Amino acid sequence: MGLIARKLAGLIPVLLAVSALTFLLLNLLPGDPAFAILGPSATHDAVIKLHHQLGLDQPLLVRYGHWLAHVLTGNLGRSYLSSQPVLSAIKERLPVTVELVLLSQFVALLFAVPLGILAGRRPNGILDRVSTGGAFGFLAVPNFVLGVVLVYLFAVRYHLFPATGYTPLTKDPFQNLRSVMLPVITLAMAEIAAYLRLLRSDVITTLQEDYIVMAKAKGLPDRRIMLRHALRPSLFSLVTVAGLNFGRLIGGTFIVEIIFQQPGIGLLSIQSIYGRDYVVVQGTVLLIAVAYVLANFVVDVAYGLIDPRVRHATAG
Amino acid sequence: MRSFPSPRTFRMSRMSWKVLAVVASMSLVAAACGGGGGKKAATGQTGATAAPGEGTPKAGGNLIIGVTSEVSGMDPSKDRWDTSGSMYAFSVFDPLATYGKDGKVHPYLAQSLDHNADYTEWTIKLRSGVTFSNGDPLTADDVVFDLNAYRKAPLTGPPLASIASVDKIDPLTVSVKTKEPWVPFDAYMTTQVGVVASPKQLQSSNSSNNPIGTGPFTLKEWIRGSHFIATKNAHYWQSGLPYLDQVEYRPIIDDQARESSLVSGTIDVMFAGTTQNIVDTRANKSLKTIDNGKAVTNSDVGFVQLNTAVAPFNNILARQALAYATDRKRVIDTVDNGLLTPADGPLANPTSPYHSTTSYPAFDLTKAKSLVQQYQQQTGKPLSFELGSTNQTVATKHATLLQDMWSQAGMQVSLKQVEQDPFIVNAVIGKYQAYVWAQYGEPDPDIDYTWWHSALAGPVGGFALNFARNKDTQVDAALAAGRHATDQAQRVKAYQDIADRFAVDLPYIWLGVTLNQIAFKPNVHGFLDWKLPDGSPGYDYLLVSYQPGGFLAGHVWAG
Repeated sequence: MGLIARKLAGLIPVLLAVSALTFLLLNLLPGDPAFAILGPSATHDAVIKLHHQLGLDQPLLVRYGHWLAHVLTGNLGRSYLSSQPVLSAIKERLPVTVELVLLSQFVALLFAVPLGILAGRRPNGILDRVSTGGAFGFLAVPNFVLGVVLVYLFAVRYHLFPATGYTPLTKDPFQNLRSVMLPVITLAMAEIAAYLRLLRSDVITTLQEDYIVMAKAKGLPDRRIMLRHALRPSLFSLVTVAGLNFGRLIGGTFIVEIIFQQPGIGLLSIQSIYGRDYVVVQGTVLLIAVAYVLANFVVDVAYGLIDPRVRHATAG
Repeated sequence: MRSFPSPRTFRMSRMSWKVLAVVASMSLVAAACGGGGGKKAATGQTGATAAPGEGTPKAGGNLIIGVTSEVSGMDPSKDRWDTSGSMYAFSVFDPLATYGKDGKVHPYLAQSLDHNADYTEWTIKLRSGVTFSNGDPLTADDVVFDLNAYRKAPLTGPPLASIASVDKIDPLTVSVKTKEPWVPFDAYMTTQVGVVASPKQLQSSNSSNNPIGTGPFTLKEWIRGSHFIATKNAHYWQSGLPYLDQVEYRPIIDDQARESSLVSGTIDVMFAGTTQNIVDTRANKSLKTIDNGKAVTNSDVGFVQLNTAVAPFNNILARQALAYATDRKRVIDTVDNGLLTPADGPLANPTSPYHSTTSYPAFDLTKAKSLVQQYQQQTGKPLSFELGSTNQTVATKHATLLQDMWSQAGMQVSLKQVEQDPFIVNAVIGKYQAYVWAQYGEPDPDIDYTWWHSALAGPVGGFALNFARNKDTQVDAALAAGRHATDQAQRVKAYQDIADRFAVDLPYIWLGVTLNQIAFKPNVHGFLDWKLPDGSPGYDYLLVSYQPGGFLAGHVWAG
């Protein structure tokens, strides 16, 4: 409980700093939301009038103060462009991104963990060399290239999955799975490669520890040594990176969301940045910051679950 | 598709982050080719008829249409509609007027649009028995409310500035008095400011998200960035329409992704975004395509806009050098897959009634080099400038090729990419030297008054909608003639005179006439050969109101 309270308390200055910096930086960008709304035919009077309507004629600090005051009451404001409440826009988009991130992480771990263990168990063996080569290959392929190739093969050529679009899980679970399959694979491929390499290295290191040698000397079976004694301590790096990736991907699936037209947070952020829709950008940045902090928090908790020493140290 | 970046392309609208291109609009205005004149005939309230060559229209079915950008909202007074926006909007709203195949404005939601002798008063007669999607009847009060709301709104006010008053005559009749003779007023009624929304919608705090119109469909679900689904309006005033049970728009910003979606069967219709889309879909035997290559109207023209208020382009020698150094055919062949027609003026579509060949300089590298030398001798400086473009791929390709071309004539050209939004702002305040641009596709060139008149060529640093800041009294006189003349031949001549003046002034370095295209599955019909409420043929070649590429989904059918 103490840990949770400390983490939550730490969240406040982080969010304040992130929101203040975002507000400042966005306002330093060239451009004007009034022109995004009115277009090139905007007259001077119309721009002035719209600035007033949107509150853009007020000093920066006043605007930030108003925004912050509203946020504290749960109101993230309304989009300049669509008038849609920002919270409502985020609620619409968040499930898409969360689903993409969770599924891609699940798929990545599903493949990376067994392959990492097997590769680390026999360094330089055939499986290790094949998986290492494959991992470097996938790491080298940008996801916008992989995405396009997958679309060509599985949508255009064989019509197995839709090329674009998203079907909500609540509407049709099967179609939902079909609609996210290609973006999930695109996201997961690079992660598989990274996780596999990470776990492989840690497994190799762990297997050289004295207690593993002792376990072998005691005649314990390899499988038991690997799963009971070597795997857990080898997971630290993987858990850390996977956790942070979750936070990163909440706001980092831009390219995949654009290629596959998945209406998630990434697409919303890009649209808002180009439209100079500051209020929406503020909202999405706040969300991403919260996701990062929460991901870190979950990682910390996971450490305790993986290694009792961490739990005891925290308790002590 | 628009081959050149333009302020009209603000997709992502606003995302078209590629341009997002997408956007546009200069206008909420539009216009009538040939519009102008004469009293419009009163029309009956008829529905759909068979489309020659396409079989008998079938009722039922759903259609998924891939559009190039997402739309900010459905409030005609607040949200700027590009082609995607018009597609959404004209599904749930009806315009008071639209274009016929004859290129003239015809009443649509209105029963008739009449004018007095000197075009200072227009009378809009509404149909009886029309209801909004919330069940309220359409009345003159609604039109009066809407037009007054549009006049007051920052977005829609400027194009309606010539309106003096809007008054109700009787429950179904509205009078619009204007401050000056306004011949193409009816053309404006085909556009965003001619859409009739329920006053309850416009007064609502949720007006952008909850359209209440009289259109063939009613909004069922709109998840921005994902889909806009509208279902058949069972009480639609045009009997038999719409054919479709449901129409769904999906904003697919990436041009290749949109094409893949069509080829894979994920969507039924797509709007092309690049000439490569056009090449690919034309070659695909399993698809059908329609483009506006033979449209009897204006199309957007790609060009390089020069700021004539700053050096070096405040010197005619520099502008002439640029014109002679530009090989339009090479640009089109290299960047635009050879699909476009070279432009020699702002109304350069050869099939436009306003088109005429001008004396615009032909490519002549020797002459260009000579002019560059003359410029250097006269000013003591090399001909050096910055060419700006948006960060769209096609725009940067144009800029790079032009840089190479102009460098061969001895000019020093640096490139600069600017995001769409500041790109427009810079043009407005004159903070640029040369910008790659596209514009002037409005059916009636009266809307271009704003962009070309000397009175709107403000100083650098101030607002100016005449972005090139070109001042020519002969252009001003021709613009006035085009606005006030009641004879169409005189109007055509006025705009042809303007094109000729631009060939002398050279504030614009013309490139090519843009092409709009849709590609669709063979079972989709009704884009051409549709009927207006008065029974006359509707406009084809993909033009709905001022938006090239649009069509009225209420007339489309699947079978």
